[in-house]
Amino acid sequence: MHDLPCATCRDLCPEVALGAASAEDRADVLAHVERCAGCAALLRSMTDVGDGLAALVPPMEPPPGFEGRVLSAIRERGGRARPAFGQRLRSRPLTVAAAVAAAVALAAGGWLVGETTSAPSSAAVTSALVSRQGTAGTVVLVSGVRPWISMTFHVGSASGSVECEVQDASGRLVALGTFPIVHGYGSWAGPLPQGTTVRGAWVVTPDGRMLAWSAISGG
Amino acid sequence: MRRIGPRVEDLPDEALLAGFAAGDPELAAAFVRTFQSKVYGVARRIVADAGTAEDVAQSTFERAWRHARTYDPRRGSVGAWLGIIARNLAIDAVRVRPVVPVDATALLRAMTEEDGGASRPERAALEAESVTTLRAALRQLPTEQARAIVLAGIAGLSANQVAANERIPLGTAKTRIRTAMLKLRSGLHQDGPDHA
Repeated sequence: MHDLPCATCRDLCPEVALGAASAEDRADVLAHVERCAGCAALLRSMTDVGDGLAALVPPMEPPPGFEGRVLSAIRERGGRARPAFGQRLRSRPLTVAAAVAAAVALAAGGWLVGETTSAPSSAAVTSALVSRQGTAGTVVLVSGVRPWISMTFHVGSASGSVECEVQDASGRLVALGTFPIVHGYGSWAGPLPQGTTVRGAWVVTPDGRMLAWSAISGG
Repeated sequence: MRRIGPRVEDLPDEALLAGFAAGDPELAAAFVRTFQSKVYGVARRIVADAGTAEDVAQSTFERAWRHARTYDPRRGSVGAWLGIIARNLAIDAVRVRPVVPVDATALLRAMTEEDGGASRPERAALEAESVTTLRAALRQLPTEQARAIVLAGIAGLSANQVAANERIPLGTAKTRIRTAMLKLRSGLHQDGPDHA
């Protein structure tokens, strides 16, 4: 690996961003941008261009039955993943987020336990998460046999851990789980206690500061 | 029980992705149905045969399922994210096979036609700004530069392979790729600081 001067790195950035560089050039550029903010920003902006080119490719219908084959393959992957997940559960203490993820993997969604996509339908309610800065993400509540909630959250650029809390019909606050925020963005999904009527959802810091909230109607 | 509220097809893409990742059967089916033509289209344009393209498209959805938590909406739409995954997987697939000549003219024509990547009208509206800007910038490039950058960026050719495909010296291929990239980046930058 060579220690590239900035000028050489900048010459190579287009090919690296497009995936057209040799392995050696790519390694040299990636090593350089680790310690050079200017070249890192250039590479990032060029990678955005390279990624954007994929959006220009027109759609094309896949062969018949593609959707079913994709869902079957993932159902098989989920089925095989479960024993390994169980081993992890036994081998070390779970974080709250991991416990919620386990509950989702094992309880939510019929396909992981081999049901078909014609499972009983459920009701979906989508609401906006808002913060003091404006829209901060989305909350989706899905009721039915296995009710669950998902949220995406994006505010600022901070990283850390936040908690999802919901308020039920009696006004009681229920903490459902924590999830990581990386550079201002995080997403999370978890099961809802059966029969819970959700009136609101919050994203709260570990020290109790509310970052975003959502008033939910019809949940 | 019948689903009430919005139809699943009308849910935001992020909600479809969350439902797909969490294993909701109805949302997962809607997610695949919504994006399968986009994903397959990218794969099919890069790999030579339909069977490999389907394998790539299927792997794209599997990867999206495993890594849904890494999706960041500030970096682009769900469709764009899937397109990037499909492109990377397709390039990996073609790299392990013998190089075959790529029809750069057909690829470039497909990418510069209107409404290239939208799978339904409302998504076309959402994606219009950045996609339209990039498409316009691509159209304004000299043909030889546009061919070079789509061969490298979409067909997955190395600079050496671009040179062979276009029957030009390696240095010329590198210059065309670099010049085209700088112009496209400049075109997106004019659209606003978020695209820089």
